[in-house]
Amino acid sequence: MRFAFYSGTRGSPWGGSEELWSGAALELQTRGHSIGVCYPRFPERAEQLTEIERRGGTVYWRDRRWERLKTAARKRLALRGWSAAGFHGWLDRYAPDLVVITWGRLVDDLSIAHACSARKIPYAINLQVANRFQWFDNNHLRSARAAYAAAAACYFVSRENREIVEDQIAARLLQASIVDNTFGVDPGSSVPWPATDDRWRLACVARLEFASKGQDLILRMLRSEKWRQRPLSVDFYGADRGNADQLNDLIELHGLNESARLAGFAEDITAVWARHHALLLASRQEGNALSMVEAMLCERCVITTQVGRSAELINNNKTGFLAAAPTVELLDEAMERAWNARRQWQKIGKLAAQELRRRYSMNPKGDFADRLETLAVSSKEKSAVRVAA
Amino acid sequence: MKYGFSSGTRSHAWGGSEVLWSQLAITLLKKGHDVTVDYPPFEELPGPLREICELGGSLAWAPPTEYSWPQRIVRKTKKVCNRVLPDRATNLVRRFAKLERRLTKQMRLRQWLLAEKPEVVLITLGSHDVDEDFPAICREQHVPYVLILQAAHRNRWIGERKLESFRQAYAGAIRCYFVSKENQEIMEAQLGASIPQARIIDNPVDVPVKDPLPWPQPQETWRLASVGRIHFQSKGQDLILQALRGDKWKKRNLHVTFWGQDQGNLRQLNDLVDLFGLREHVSYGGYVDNMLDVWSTHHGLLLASRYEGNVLAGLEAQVCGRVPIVTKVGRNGELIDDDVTGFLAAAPTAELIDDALERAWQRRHEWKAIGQLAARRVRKLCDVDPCQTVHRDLESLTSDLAAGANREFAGQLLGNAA
Repeated sequence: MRFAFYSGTRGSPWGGSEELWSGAALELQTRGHSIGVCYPRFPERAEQLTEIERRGGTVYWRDRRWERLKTAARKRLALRGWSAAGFHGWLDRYAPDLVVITWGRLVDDLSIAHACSARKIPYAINLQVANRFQWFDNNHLRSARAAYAAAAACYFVSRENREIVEDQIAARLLQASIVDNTFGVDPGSSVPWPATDDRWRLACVARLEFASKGQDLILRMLRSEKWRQRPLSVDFYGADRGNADQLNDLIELHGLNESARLAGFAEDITAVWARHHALLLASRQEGNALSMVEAMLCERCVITTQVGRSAELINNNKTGFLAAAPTVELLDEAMERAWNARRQWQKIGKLAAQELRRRYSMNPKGDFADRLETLAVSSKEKSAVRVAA
Repeated sequence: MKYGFSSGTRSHAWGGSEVLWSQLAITLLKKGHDVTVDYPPFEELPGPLREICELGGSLAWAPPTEYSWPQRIVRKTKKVCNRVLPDRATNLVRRFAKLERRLTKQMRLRQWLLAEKPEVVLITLGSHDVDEDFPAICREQHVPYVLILQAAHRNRWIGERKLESFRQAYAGAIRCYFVSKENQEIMEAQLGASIPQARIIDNPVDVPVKDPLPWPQPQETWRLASVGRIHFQSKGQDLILQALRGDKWKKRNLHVTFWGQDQGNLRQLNDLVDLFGLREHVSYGGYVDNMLDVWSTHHGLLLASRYEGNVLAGLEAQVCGRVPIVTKVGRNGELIDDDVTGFLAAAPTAELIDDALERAWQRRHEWKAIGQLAARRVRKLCDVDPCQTVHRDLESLTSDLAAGANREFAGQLLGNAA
């Protein structure tokens, strides 16, 4: 079979949203399928793409310089009710049996979906994160609804994300299902529990972007006298996405040098968990946070907001602590519950790992590849029946 | 004294953010001061601006059909490009048009400052992350300025590229007015700096009632009004629909009417009502000018805002003796005593709104009494004449500046201008 993967990424050469599809692509290659990838050209080339090419796959590079112009044109055409079939010529060159579209956010350039529809190529959508803060407006609603409704399958990484998209397009997606996202740690490994003699160490593992990861809420919470007096510190790990200056300045401004620290980007996540007792994540929006899954697999207690997949994977107060929403007050309330149970964190972390191993795929890339294989076969059969009829 | 007023509104001709400054301008005119207003061009001149003109204020405003020469070039180029080169040039033209709008606005503001020579300028900002240009122009022209921020939130952050200019904008203001403590905290977090010259002020209530309105009769159905422009991102109407879709609410004799102008999500609202099977329980009432008509037929306010400053609909509902069921954003947490003078959802999520609505529903037979208590409380907590308060504050600030006593602010102003 010929599988094509389209990634909607624009901002960075590689990110968490690319892991699932690229892993599945490599898996499908080992099963003898042909892979084509449409990806934007960045100065740095991700090693996963090199590996796909090395195994015989084809990468169609999109020129980012023209991407924005093309996107604007496509949107304009869509608004005027014109077809976007003329775009995405790589589909004609590669002629795939199934196209897997991955979007790292809700987008209004849905032309790839419309281009597949126009060519009668079955396609699946994998959306990695959704939020209720950006909405399709009246003008884009019909186009978005058509793009999702015509997909052979819609894979979401959390039930919440599915609900958000259904609200966004004001339609039910009967072909939607939930997939488990990948993780970057050995699921069987046990990370030794760090000493707790001087203070309780929490890590916030997320790119430094307040709008999505809510680090500002953590700093606001730590400002209160209550938390200053407690032997607790938070290390912020992650690449800067525009708010590192504010984070540093807020730490200085509020005199939080002892309890908050910018720790940079961590390559080895297991090493992070060898030094920390818990994950503190105040995300405003999520799909299925990789850092949460990884912390749980490393047997660490998770304190996070009820967004994305967290409410499905964490049993509040038993296998972690959930703040009902990303606000300072609710985060403080969840942290207070966690703090009162701090002597149990090790036990809670172990329980969280056990639960997760029971409920979550330990081979998400392989499982996703299985689903895509089945979908491609059934789509092909359906089109064969249509032709015969 | 000559006061200048500048509004940053862009998308709609008149909104809640314009009420405070326009009433302040009218108050100042009535006290014998000079007022000059800079307002963006819209199709029609809003009523309060007409009143300002009638009272002798000068207005720098041009109807949008009078295009400047760069605007004419852009419009012509756009037309040609749309016909000839739809795939590449449209985006370039869009970007050029954006730059042109910005430059035109800067030029307009400079001309206005030079022509009118106001002694102090009050700049109203509808959102925390827009219009940092104008304070810079005031500093460049050595005109003291005051910022009035009407709404701030944490879902969009000022990026590193603009952080310094926003910091200078706030540091250079002789006064920064916020309409809620929460908004001030958010802005301080956005800037990563404290704002020592910040003050909290109230928005004026624009309904002419002294006592709560008569309770609507008959009471077969409990009627809630959700008053706010139809814009899911800010007013969260989607969350109300999410909360109401449960069977529990469908069995109850509760009706929610959405009132407000469409700002991009009316189609979704209607489609979601159908999708969730809520036609019997939810309706859209359109835009109304006279809020008394709404409050005389509804028992309470249901508002699921994701962010606010100090929402006028909340103040008006309470003044009219209607129970507020709202999210704890903006000033709501300061003005409403949860379970006593209204019902607060701790955050804008469907679950927490359902929880607040459930608590309210269980006490629906007390809504009249709660509404009356809210009416008394809100009059006590809110400044009945915020314009007067601001005027007094401005007078003391400007006299300090004139006497050179307020060297700290003047120094900041000049330092930043340099």
